[in-house]
Amino acid sequence: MGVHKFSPMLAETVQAAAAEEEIRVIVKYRSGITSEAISARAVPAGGRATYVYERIPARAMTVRAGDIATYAHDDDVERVWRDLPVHTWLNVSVPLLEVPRVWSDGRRGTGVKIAIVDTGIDTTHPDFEGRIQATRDFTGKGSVADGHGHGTHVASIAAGSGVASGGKYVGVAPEALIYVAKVLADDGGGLMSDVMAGIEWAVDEGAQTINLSLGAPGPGDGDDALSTLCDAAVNEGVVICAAAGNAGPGTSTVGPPGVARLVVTVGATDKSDGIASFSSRGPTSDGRTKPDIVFPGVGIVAARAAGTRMGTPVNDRYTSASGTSMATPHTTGAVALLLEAYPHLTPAEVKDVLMRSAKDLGLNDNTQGAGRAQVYNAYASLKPVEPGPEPGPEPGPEPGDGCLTQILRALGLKA
Amino acid sequence: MKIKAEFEAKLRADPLAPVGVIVTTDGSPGEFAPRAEAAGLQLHRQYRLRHMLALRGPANAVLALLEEPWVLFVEEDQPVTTMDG
Repeated sequence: MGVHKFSPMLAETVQAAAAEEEIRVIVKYRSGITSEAISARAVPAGGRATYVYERIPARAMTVRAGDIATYAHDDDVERVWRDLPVHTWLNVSVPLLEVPRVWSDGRRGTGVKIAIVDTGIDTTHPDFEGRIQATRDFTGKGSVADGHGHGTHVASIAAGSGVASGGKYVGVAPEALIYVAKVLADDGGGLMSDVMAGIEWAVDEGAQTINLSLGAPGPGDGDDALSTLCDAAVNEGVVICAAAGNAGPGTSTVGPPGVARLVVTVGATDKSDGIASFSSRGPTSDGRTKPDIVFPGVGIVAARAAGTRMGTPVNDRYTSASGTSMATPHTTGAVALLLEAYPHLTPAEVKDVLMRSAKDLGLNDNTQGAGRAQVYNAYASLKPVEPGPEPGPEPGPEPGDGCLTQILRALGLKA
Repeated sequence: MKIKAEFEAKLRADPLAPVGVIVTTDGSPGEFAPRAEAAGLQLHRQYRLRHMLALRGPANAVLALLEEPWVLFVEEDQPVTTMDG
């Protein structure tokens, strides 16, 4: 049998699995076997080959756990690995935005008030310890306990400290103060009226930026109740970051509150700066360009609320999820960094600098907005120019260095 | 126009159905909340940033609001969801 060819993780998985359970593996064959020969090899009954690699003699396949050892017994098989899911960790998306360069300048969102208006939060998660300032339930549950997981995940992307991961999965503004309005029930749904109440509460609490990783179906013209209330909050000086929605790639799929005129509407990219196919596209039904900007939002690993199974859990404390929901809190965290450094910026100025400093991905404006955000560039572009040394007095002309002298020299004559 | 035609048709199709609406008022919503309640609607939320009330009740009571001069616009209290995949 070929068990000795299993990677340790595969051996563990096979041992724990029922014989009929399908497992994704990558099989490495001995050198010299061509990809054509690999393609021609039979796959165990019930299994299926998914990909043959060109640069190494290997292929990916799905097989039943009970068949893997027999298949690996083949002399041509050298090694069998478990095919592992790949995630865009916060420690990938955050550096992609060059956020650590802002941290290096001493800006970590310290003291900036951000509000997460969502499904609540796991107040016991170590990544928020000591920073949840106020909470309010608008769903009738009686507490902001996050029985869904979405709000906790979103909050940690914006402001998680990463303590539970030993500092590996740190949110964008890890020292921001957190305000939590629970406006969505534990099934992830709610009503506009409660979201609006949560936004007003956040404004009254003094939130400087509000995260809305939620929405209603599009299209919309921005004149609905939720969108107009968002615009009113922005006019009171609060930066609102709203998800574009996950109804892409069709056009005019952004809904409220993403269609609000004054909010920062956020679409999603992957770690390679490709636009996520699900990311909603503009224009709005009254012809305005949306989204305004895009941030990473595919396979983001961030905090997992205790007892929830949202996304693909990585371990007890973290889970992976995708959506413009995940892109939006990257924006909210970025706003917190900017407001810490430049507290007098208006919401319009914050939105403008984020858009102006974004990386053009070469896509349609109604797909990418201004492009993928570059947080450090936004931050650095606002830095006052360092004054140079005081200029000294203009040097006087050297004796005999005037125009006539130069002409005489050019003619080979002595001045 | 105080209501979108599509929503009005939905209300008229089932006048006794319970609905949630958001009403834009011509002035401070606190002044009009008692009038909405007198019309058979329950006050769910009242807002400060915009002159709006969130109300719940039967569709026919909502339709009756359209006759009130202090009612500027009536729209559905739409469902919202998280935006994760």
